[in-house]
This record gives sequence, C-alpha cells and structure tokens, in this order.
Amino acid sequence: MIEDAFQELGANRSALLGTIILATFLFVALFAPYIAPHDPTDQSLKNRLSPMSSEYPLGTDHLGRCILSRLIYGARISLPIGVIIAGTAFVIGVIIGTISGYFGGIIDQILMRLVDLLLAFPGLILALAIIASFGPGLSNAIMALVATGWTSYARMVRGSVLSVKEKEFVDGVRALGAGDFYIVMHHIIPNVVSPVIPMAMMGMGYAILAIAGLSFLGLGVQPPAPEWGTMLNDGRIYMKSAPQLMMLPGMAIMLTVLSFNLVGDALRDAFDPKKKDKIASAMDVKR
Amino acid sequence: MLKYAAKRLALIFPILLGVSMLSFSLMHLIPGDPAEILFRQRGAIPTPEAVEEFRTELGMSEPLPIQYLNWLYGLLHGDMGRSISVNYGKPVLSEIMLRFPATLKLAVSSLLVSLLISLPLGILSAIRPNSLVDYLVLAGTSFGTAIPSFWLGLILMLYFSVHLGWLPVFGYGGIDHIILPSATLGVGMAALTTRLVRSSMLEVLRQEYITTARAKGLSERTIITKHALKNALIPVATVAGLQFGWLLEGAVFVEVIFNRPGIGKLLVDSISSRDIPVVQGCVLFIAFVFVLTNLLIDISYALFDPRVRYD
Repeated sequence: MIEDAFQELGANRSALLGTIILATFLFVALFAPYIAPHDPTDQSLKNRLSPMSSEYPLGTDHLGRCILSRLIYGARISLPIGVIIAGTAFVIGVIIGTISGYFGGIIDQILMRLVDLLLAFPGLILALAIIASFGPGLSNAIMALVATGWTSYARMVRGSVLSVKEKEFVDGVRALGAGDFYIVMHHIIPNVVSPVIPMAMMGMGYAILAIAGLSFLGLGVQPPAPEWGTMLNDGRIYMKSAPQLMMLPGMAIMLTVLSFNLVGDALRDAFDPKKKDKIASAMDVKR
Repeated sequence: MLKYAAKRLALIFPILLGVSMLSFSLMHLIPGDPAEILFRQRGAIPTPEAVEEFRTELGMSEPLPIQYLNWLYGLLHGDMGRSISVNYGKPVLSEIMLRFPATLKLAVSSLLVSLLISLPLGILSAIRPNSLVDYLVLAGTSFGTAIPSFWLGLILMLYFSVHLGWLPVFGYGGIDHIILPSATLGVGMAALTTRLVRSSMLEVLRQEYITTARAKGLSERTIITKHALKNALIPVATVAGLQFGWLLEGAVFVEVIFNRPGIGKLLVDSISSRDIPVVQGCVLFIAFVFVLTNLLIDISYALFDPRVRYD
C-alpha cells in the first residue's frame, strides 16, 4: 500500500516536473521579445566573449551577441520545430497505419513493406542521406526527419486497428448502415490514437534533439539563427576560455527533451490499461 | 530452428534489394542534373558538350533502370564507385573499409561501457524497488536519455582532457583515445538499458520459480545471479538490434567531436563536400551492417531461448 502510494507520488512528481519545465519553455518562447534583454542577432564586437554583467546576464558569445537572449529565442525555434516534425509524422503515421490495418490485403502489404524498408536504416542515417541529396537547411532537415519518423506510429496504429476492427461494436455500426469512412473516423481512429499520443510526445523531444544534432553538424538550422545546436557548435571552439558558450545551449536542449520525456512517460502510464483501475479509483476519491 | 534461420535469411534479400534501390535513388533525387552538378564540383565550367561527355563517362546517359542494374552489378562485385571530392578517384569501398574498424571498436567498447553501468544499476534498483537508490537510478536514466551525446562528449572532453589533462583531446590510436568517445556513447545507451534491465528483472522476480527458489532456501545472491538474471536478460537482448542502430547514429556525432576517423565522420565529411558516391556508399554500408546484425540477433535469440518457437 505505502509502496504503491510512493510510486504514484514519484510518477506524479516527475510528471509535474516535466509539465513545469515544458510550461516554462513555452512561456519563454511565446514572450521572447518581452523577456529577452537584447536582439538575439545583434552583434557588439567590442563586447566579445564578455563575462556575466548586468547588461548581459549570461555574457556574450564570440560575436558579442547576448547569450541569454539567444537562448530565449532558441526556444522559439526548437519548440515549434519539434511540434511540426512529430505532429506531421504522427498524422502521416496514423493515416497510413489506419489505411493499412483497416483495408488489409495488397495495400497493407505494400505499405508495410515500405515501413520495413525505411526501418532497415538507422533513422538518423537515412535522414542524413536525404539531407545529403536535397542539401542542408532547416526545411530539408524537417522533411528528412518526418520522412524517417512516421514509420513507428504507422506500425503501432496498424496493430491496434487490426484488433479494433474485429470488435462487435464495429459490426454493429456497419449493420446500422455506416460507411467505411464514417466507421474509420468515428469508431476506429478514436480507439487507436491514445497509445500513440505518448509516443508523439516523446517524438517531439526526439525531434528537438535530432534537429539540434543536425544543426550542430551544420546541416540543419543555419547561422546566425539562435538555434541551440548551432550555438553549441559555435561555442565548442571556446570551450576553454568561455565554457558557458557550450554548456548553456546543451542544458537548454537537455531540459526540453527531458520535459517531453517525463510528460510522455506520465501519459503512457495514464493510458496503460493495466494501471487504469488505480487511476479510476484515484478519481473516485477526488469526487 | 534451421528452418527458421533459413526463412529469416531469405527475408532479408528483398529488404537489401530495397535498401540498394533507395540508396541508388538518393543520387537521382538531387534537384537538377546530377552530371552537371558533379561537373561543376570538379571546378570545370559546364559547356553542354562537356557535360554530355562527362555523363557518358559516368554511365549516366542510360535510362535509370539500366543505370541501377549497372550500379547493382558493380556493387555485387565490390565496386561502389569512386569518390568525386576530397579523396578524388579513390574507390568508395576501400575508403569505407579503411574507416569501419574505428567505428566497430567504438561500438563494441560503448556497448561494454553501457553493460558495465546498466547491469549493476538495473539489478540494484529492481531488487530494491521504490527505494532511494531506485529513484536515483530512475532519475539518472531520465537525464541520460535526454542528454545530447554531442554535448556530453564535449563536457567530458572539457573536464578530462582540457582541465585535468588525463586523456588526449582527440585523435585515434591507443586505448586512451577510445575512453572518452565510448564513455559518451555508453552513458547514453546505458540510460535505456538500465530501464530495461530494471523492468524485466522486476517482472522475473515476480515469477513463481523465484518463489520456489526462495523456498528452497537459496541465498538471494544465487537467486538473482543464477535464476533471475539469465531470464531477465532476454528482453534486453531483443532490443540489442535497435540499440545497435542507435550506436551507429551516435557514432556520427562522437566521431565528429573527437575527430575519430570512422564511418560516421566520413559520412558527415562527404555530405559537407557533396561527395554523393561516398554518401551513398556509407549509407548503404551502414544499412547493410544494421540489417545483418538484426538478422544475427534474431537467429541467436531463437537459438538461445528454447521457449521461442517460430513456425
């Protein structure tokens, strides 16, 4: 009993922590122009690599740009990118997985062999290959990560669709005269998305990490945009004289990814049918 | 068993064929005329005649399916084409083989680091669930999965090489050169593995044969190491294939940071210099290794776990 309570508390605590961090980053991203003390791309060459001061709370980088402002504006780049990549991959994955599972047959065969093929490459390696042929840059990097990211959602959704479509209520709705499109939209999809939502949440964290990594390699967001991975790469030359240049952007990436993972973990536990009873009883208590 | 292995082996041929088609088509996804782009890269001014001649020289004047078959034929004979940039004219395959050992060493040593961390920590937190140690381990794994490998590598470099001066900043050669790179990759990997070891150990410890072993009066130590661990490691082994892919991805960053002449660094360098044949070769090679590793893991899994039956 006590151990269970402990476990719940621990899980809730980390979910709370994740939500707080995420909310903070969201707030910072939304109100960046009001919070940031400087323009993130304003150079001040006489103030290069200056230490912390009241003018520059976290110092300046090698071009005299305010580090704090760049970190703040960085949230404005990373968060939307993460949402766009994971969101698009999620939608494509759900559509393809549903089509594949619902209609079966040759369509299913073709789509699933395509998934097998894409999963034969480590994801980031294939993304790198796509960037290599289309050229570096943000939009190509986003495209590459979407192109390699949708497969896991599709597989998972397909599996759920296969079991849901055999359920009696689907037969019932069909007997009432519902068409395929109606059944899929109103009865299949609502029943299969919940397990993939936590996946999408963690997918956002992964996408932010991947974009930062690609930008770090010079293949994603291009300078002078204040993107965290780009900043990290700029800063690594000065690691001895000004370690904060690489420490701070890395910290920002880690905290963002961590918050998405924690929230995703909590959502997965919440959607886990094995834990349903526990949550239901907890809700009873609240009522 | 043999039948399963044969079946599994037969299944990878269509996959490898698809992999080769996808890798081949990458070269032709480039917006614009590949022959002209390659021509420009050699620093020549593209006149229509010269481009045409170059196209014929590269065998690019044939229709695409014929080009693919020619390329595949070459591939099956160990010819992956030649580099068109930094290492101009060198065969791609030999460039890859030159660098693969560095990546392999990195992957194996990272795996060792990961197991050294994740086995003790995973077991420890599984036998004391919900204890302080358990929470610390779980918190550690949360951070471990979120930490960017390219950042961790730089931090380790800053501390151990720049400040303490214990290890070389970068390069390739002795044991000291591989410690930081494999620690970088191994720690990230350990975060995932520790969670797996913990949850699968928890699952096993709930089984009835563990209760029997306890009732028999065996010591907790024997129960854990002799009875529980072996079974707990099976789920860990099943994701080894995925983790290997993760290692190959991570190697890209680690090799760039530590300037290790591996296949990941070769890939990034050739992307920067738009050396498409080398990119193509690296991607194909990595996918090939990844597919084969997964095949071996699947087969050995069936071999070692008598409960698994594939028909």
